[in-house]
Amino acid sequence: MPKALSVLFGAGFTVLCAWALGRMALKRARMELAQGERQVLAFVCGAPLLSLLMTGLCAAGAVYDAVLLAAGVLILAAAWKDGAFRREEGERLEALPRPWQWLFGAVFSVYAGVALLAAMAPEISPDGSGYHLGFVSRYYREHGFVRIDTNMYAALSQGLEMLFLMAFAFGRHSAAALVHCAFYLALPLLMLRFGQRIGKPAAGAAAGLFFLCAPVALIDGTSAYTDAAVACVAFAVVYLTEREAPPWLTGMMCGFAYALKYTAFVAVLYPLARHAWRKQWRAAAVLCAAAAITAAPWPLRNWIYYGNPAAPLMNRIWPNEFVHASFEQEYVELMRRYPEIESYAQLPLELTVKGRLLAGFWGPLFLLAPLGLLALRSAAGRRMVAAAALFGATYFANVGARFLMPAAPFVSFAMALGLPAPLLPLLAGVHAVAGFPDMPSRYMEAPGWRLAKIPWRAALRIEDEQEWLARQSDGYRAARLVEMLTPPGALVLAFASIPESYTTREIAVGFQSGRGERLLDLIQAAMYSDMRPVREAVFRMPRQRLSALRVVQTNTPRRGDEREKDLWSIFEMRVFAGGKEIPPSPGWRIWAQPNPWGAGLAFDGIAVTRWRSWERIRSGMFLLAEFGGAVEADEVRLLMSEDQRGVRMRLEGQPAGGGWRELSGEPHWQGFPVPLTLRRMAMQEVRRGGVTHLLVRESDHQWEDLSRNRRAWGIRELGAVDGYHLFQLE
Amino acid sequence: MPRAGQDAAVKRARWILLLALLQAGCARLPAPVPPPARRGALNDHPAHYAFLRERAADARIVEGVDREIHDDWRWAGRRAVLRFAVDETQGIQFRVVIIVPHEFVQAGGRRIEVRIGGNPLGGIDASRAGYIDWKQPVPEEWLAPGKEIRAELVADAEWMQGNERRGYILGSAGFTL
Repeated sequence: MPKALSVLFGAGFTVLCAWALGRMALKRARMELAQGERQVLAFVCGAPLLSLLMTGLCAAGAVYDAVLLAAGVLILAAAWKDGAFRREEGERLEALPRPWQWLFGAVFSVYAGVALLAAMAPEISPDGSGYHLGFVSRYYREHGFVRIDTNMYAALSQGLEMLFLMAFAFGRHSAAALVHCAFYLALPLLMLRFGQRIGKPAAGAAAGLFFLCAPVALIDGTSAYTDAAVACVAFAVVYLTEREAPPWLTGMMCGFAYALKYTAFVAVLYPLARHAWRKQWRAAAVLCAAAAITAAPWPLRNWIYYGNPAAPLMNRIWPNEFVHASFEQEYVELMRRYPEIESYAQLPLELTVKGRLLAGFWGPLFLLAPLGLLALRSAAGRRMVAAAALFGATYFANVGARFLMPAAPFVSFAMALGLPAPLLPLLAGVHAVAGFPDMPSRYMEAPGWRLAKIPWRAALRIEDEQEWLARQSDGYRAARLVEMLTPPGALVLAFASIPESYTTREIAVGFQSGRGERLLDLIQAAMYSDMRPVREAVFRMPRQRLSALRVVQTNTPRRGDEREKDLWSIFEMRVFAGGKEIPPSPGWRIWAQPNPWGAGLAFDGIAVTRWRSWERIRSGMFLLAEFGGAVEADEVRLLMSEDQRGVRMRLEGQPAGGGWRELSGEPHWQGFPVPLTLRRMAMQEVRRGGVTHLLVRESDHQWEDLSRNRRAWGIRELGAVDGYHLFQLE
Repeated sequence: MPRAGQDAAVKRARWILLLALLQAGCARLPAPVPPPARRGALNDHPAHYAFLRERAADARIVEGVDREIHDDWRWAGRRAVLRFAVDETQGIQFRVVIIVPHEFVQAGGRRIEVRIGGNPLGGIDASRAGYIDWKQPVPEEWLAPGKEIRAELVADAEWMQGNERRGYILGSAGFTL
C-alpha cells in the first residue's frame, strides 16, 4: 500500500503543479471562463509550462528529488498567492439535460475508476515500459538530459516525458502513467464543456463518452504513452481558438502539441488559419512565436546531440550517424503499411471491429463515423469536421489505431452533432458497455490491444508488483536478469526490445539507431553468407600516376525494382601497383558520399568492418582516397558481399593536377577466402564499439548460430530466463 | 531585371537558395580524414582455402590436381588430395566449387566422395554436367587448429583427354564459414 500512496503522490503532485501553473496562466489570459471550463483548461494549459520548467531543469542537470519537490512547492505557493485556489464565480454554461447528467456522470465515473486502476497498475505497455519510461528513468538517474545514441526514439520530442519525469521521481512508472491518464480523463470533460459552450451540451457529453469508452483510447490513455495527451491538447487548441484566447496562450498549446508528438505540429494551422482569414497578422506572429518557443527545446537538443534538428526523421537533409537514411526509408514504409494490410480498404473494419492488425480498435460505434459529415450542416459541425481532417491528415504516416487519437475527439464531436439527438444516449450507452473490459472478446474473434482485465489488486499493490510484472510483461524478467548479472555501465546489445525502464543498464536494440545497426551489421556480416566478405571487385587499368582514386556507384534502380533496397558496402578498398599493395599512409585523405563517417572502415584492414552507404543505392555515391601526392597504381580491389547485386560501379582517377576521369568500367569479380575467425573478429569489433553483453531470444534469427558456435564468437552465457539468454563478450 | 514570367522562377530560386543555406548551416558533415591505423591485414592466400586460379594454390595440392591453370580453374583427377590448416574449428564447413564436364558423366561418373582427415564427410552428386557449389558442415572434432588437415576428393570415374587423365574442373576448395 505505501507504494500505491507514492504512486498517487507522484501523479497528484505533478497534475496539481500543472493545474496551478495553468490557473495563473489563465488569469493572465483574462478569459471569461465558467468554473467547469477553468478547472479542466487550467490543467491542460499548465502542462506546457510545467513541461518547459522540467526541460530547463533537465538541460541544467538539476533533476534531483529535492529540487523537484521545492519547485513544486514554489509553484503551489505562487499559485496560492495568486489566488488560484480561490473559488471564482464565472459564467454559467448551458446546463446538461438531466438524463444526460445521469448517463455522463455514471459512465464517466465508472470509466474513470477503471482507468485510474489500470494506470496505477505496474506499467506493462510495450512503448511505455520500453522507451518512454526508459528515457525518463535514465534522465532521472543522470539528473538531466544525456545523449542517447542507442535509440532513435530518444530524439523524438519529449514534452510529456518531462511531466512523466516529475511524477516518476516520486512514484516511478505508475505515477507517470497516471499523468497520461489525467489527460485521457480531462479530454471528455473538455468536450462536455465545449458542447455546453456552443449550446450543444448533449452533443458534448455524447462526444466525450464516444472517445472515453473507445477500447484503444482506454488502454492507451492508461499507459505511459502520449497519444491521449496529444488528443487532449489538440482539442484544447481548438477550444481556445474558438474562445478567442490570446494568441500567446493558443500558440503555447500549439508548440506543446509538437513537443508531445511531431505529427501534432499541424495544431498551429487551426488558429493560424483563423488569424489569416481575419488578417490579424500581429496575432498570427505572436501565435507562431509562442508556438516556436514552446517547441524549440526539442529541435535544438536534437541539433546539438544528433546533428539533425528533425531527428530521427529527415536524415537525408541533415545526414548524421545517429539514424541512417536507409532505416528511415524502411521505417516510414513499414509504418504506412502494417503487415497483412494489403489495402487501405481494410482499415475501416480493422479500426473498428477487428483490431488485430493495427494494434487496437475504436469499437463498432465508429463504423458510423462517416455520418459525422452530416454535421457539416452547422457551423460548429463544420469546424469539428475541419479539425478532424486537420489532425487526421498525418494519420497515413502511421496507420496504427492509436494514431487516430488526435482526430478522434473531433470525429466523435462531428458524429454527435450529425446523428439524431434522441439516438445519442442509446449509442453512448451501448458503446460504453461494448468497450468495457473485456466485452470486446464476446463479440470479436481476436480483439487487438485493449484492457482485458481491471488489474485492481496489482494497482493497489495487494498483489506483489514483481510477480505481476513477471506474469504480464514479456521481457520483464529478462530486464531484471540483465540488471542482476551485468555491472553498472554495461552496454547490452539486443536484437529486440525489452522493457528497458526496468533495468539501469543501457540496452542497444540492433535496429533502433545508427549505432545499433552498425553493431548488428558486424554480427550479420559474420553470420549470413550473403553479407560476408566473399568476393572482390577488381578494377585493372594501365599503370599511371594518380593523386586520387574514387569508386563511383552508377545505378539508380527504378521504383519497384527488386534491388531497389540494396545498400552499397565495401569491406576493404585496396590499391595495387605491379601486384603489390600500396598500404594507406597517414598522408592519405579518405571520404565517402553518403556516410563519410564510415569511410575509415574500408581502409582498416579488418575483413568484418565495412563502409556502408546506409542509404539505398543511387547513382553518384562514391568512396574516395586522396593520396596527398602522386602514386603509381594499376589495380584497385574492393572486398564486398553478395547482398548488393544492384550495385554498378566504375573507377575514376585524378592525375596530378588534372580532373576526374574514368579509369575502368565494371570490374572483374573473383572469390575471396572468408577468414575462419570472422565470428570472433566481429565480436571483437562489437566490443570495440562499447558493447559488453548480448541479449538473445531463442526466437531471434541470430540465436541458432550464436548459441551453437559460442566459442567461435567469443561469448559466454551468464544466464537465461523466459527464452532470453544473456552472454558476456569475452 | 527578370523578364515577364520570370518573377516566379526568381522567387522559387530564392527559396531554394534559402533552404540550401539553412540545410548547409545545420548539416554537420566531417571533412576528409586520414585512414585509420591498420589493425589487421587481409590474407589473400590463407591456409584454409584454395582458389585454383592462383599459383599460391600449389602449396595446397598434395596430388591429383593439375599444376596448369586454365583461366581460373584446374583439372582434378580421380583422387585429388589437398592440404589445409585452420585457425578456427567451430561452425566450419567444407566447400568445393567444381564444374562437371559431359565427358565425366559419359565415362560413368556419378559421385565424388569427400573425406576430411580420412573421415567421410559426404558425397557430391556429379551425375549431371554443370556447375556445383557444394558445402557441408565439418564436425569440430575432425579439426585441430594449426595442424595439417588433408581433404580427399574421390571421383568414381575418369576419362582421357589425349594422353591426360581427367576428372572434373576444380575452381576452389577448402574450409569456410
